[in-house]
Order: sequence, then structure tokens, then C-alpha cells
Amino acid sequence: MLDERKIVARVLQGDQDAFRVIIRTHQRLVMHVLLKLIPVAEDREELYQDIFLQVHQRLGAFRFQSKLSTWIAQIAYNMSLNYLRKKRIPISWELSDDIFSGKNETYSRGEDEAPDVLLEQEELKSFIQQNIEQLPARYKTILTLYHIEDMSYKEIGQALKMPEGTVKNYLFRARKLLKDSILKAQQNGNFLFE
Amino acid sequence: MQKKLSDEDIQRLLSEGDHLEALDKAANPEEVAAYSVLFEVLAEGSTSFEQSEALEEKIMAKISPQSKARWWSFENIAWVLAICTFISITILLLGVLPKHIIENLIAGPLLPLVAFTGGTVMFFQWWSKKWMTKIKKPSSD
Repeated sequence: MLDERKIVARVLQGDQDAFRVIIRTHQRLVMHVLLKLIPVAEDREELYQDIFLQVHQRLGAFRFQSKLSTWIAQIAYNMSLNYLRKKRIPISWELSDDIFSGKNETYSRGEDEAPDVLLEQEELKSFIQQNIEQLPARYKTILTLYHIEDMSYKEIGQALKMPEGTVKNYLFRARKLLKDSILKAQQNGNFLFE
Repeated sequence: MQKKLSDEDIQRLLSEGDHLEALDKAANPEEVAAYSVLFEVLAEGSTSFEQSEALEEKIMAKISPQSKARWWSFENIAWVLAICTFISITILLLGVLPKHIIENLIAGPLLPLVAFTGGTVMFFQWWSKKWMTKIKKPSSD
């Protein structure tokens, strides 16, 4: 397991290989946050570099009050939001109950289609992924940090600067809305579960 | 006996990965199935990190210690040339302009002249910084 104190101390002493270790350990986390928030690939790559440069620059100010990954996730999230604001890309914050209504209509089977034309499992996953993409920024980030990065409610709360209860609530609401969208698509006859 | 599970129950059981038999016995299998697929998709994440090594190298290049500052660096030479040009033009003008014009200039609008020169220098300083940033940008990548 990575000894964060040792590795940070080595970076602060100018050890570049130690910083490589930090990049490799956290590249997945940063890229997942970026994939959820930044729509353009080129912008993601630019921001990916800027985030790690910022981490390197501010590492001396890191006081180990949280895990290094939580601190890096916080930087990645804040820098992504700043980037979206700077580029004037609208950021949605609130989750409405009809967020997927348009999407589900797209997936509805037409009258003239054969009733046995069902979405395959991959299409179902793609449908869910597209719905996840439609979620507001912080909901997407919370889902990613919880499910992919295995971060706890507390760690996500620290990274996104929100209470643990809010994190739980957002996570529950997002998953429930996504589940409802799947059931709705199923009722429309788009696919069956195995 | 079959029991209908609430959203909270299903989410909790799938998150904990525990008591999965309770999910199998649920009276609302459609909801359980929908949540199961959703959790599967959520845990998958993305694998599109092909560029990560190249990006890592770019980051390392940017944080590598900068080469020692040299007096003959491009920026310093540009400044030396600008100052030399200014001095040369001043000497030339002092040699070419009639003496009475120079005397009138010193005796009369000296303050505005100093202000004008100061303003001009500051403008060029601002402009050169902007220009340097512009020409340095592509090389930093």
C-alpha cells in the first residue's frame, strides 16, 4: 500500500519518480472525474495535465487531514467546474424527476417494429450510460467516486465539500431515478432483463 | 415468504454485496433486476486512458527543474537590444536636433516629456510580456 506521507515527503524533496507514483496511483480517479464532467477530449487532456501540475505545486500545503486521493479528487472537481465556467459551458445542478423523459422517448419502440426487437444487453448498458451522462455534474461525480473509486460517503463529502448526509441523499436519488428510467424503458418494451 | 423490498433496501443490499438471497426472494424482482444492471454499469467505469503515458511525460517535462537562468537568454537579449536602441536614438536625436530645440525642450515641457517616456516604456514592457507569453506557449507543450 502507498505510504502517502513518505511519498509526499519524497516529492517535496524534489524526487520526480515519487511524483510519477502519485500520478500513476491517481490517474484513474482524475480521468474518471474528467470523463464525467468535461465533454471534449482535448479539454480533458489539457485539464488532466493542469490538475497534476496543481497537485505538484500545492503538495507542500497538503496537511494529511484527508486521504491524498480525496484531496486530489477535490482539486480535480473544482478545476473541472472552473473550466466549465470559464468556457461558459452550462452546468446543471438540480436533479428533476423528468430528467430522462426525452431520452426514454428516443428509446421507445415504434409501432411498426417487430415485437421481438429488443435491446441487447450492451445496448441496455449504453442506454444507462447515456442517462448517467445526463445527470447534473455533482450527481455524476458522486456516482463515479462511490462506485468506481470506492470512496466512502465521508471522503466524497470532503472532496465535494458537502455533508455526508447530502452525499447519501444525492446518491440515493440519482440511483432511484436511473432505476425508474430503466423500468420505464422496460415497460415501453425496449428490453427484457435476463 | 416473499417480501417487497424498498428502494433503500435494494440499494443498501447491493452496495454491501450482502444478504443477496433476500434480493432473490424479493416480491418485486423487476426493481431488483433494474438496480442490479444499474450497479453493474456504475461499477464498470471507463477504460479510455490510452493517452495517459504520453500525458504523464508531458506533466513530468513541465515539473522538471528549469535550466539555470542565463544572462544570454532570449528574453534578456531582447531587453538589452531595446535599451541600446533607445539610448542610440536619444544620442542621435541629441546630435541631429538644433541646440535651441533641445534647450527649449528641457526648459519647457520636461515633465510631460518624462511622463510620455515613462508611459512609453511601461507600454512596451506590458506589450513585451504579452508577446513573450504568446511565443512561449507552443513550446511549453
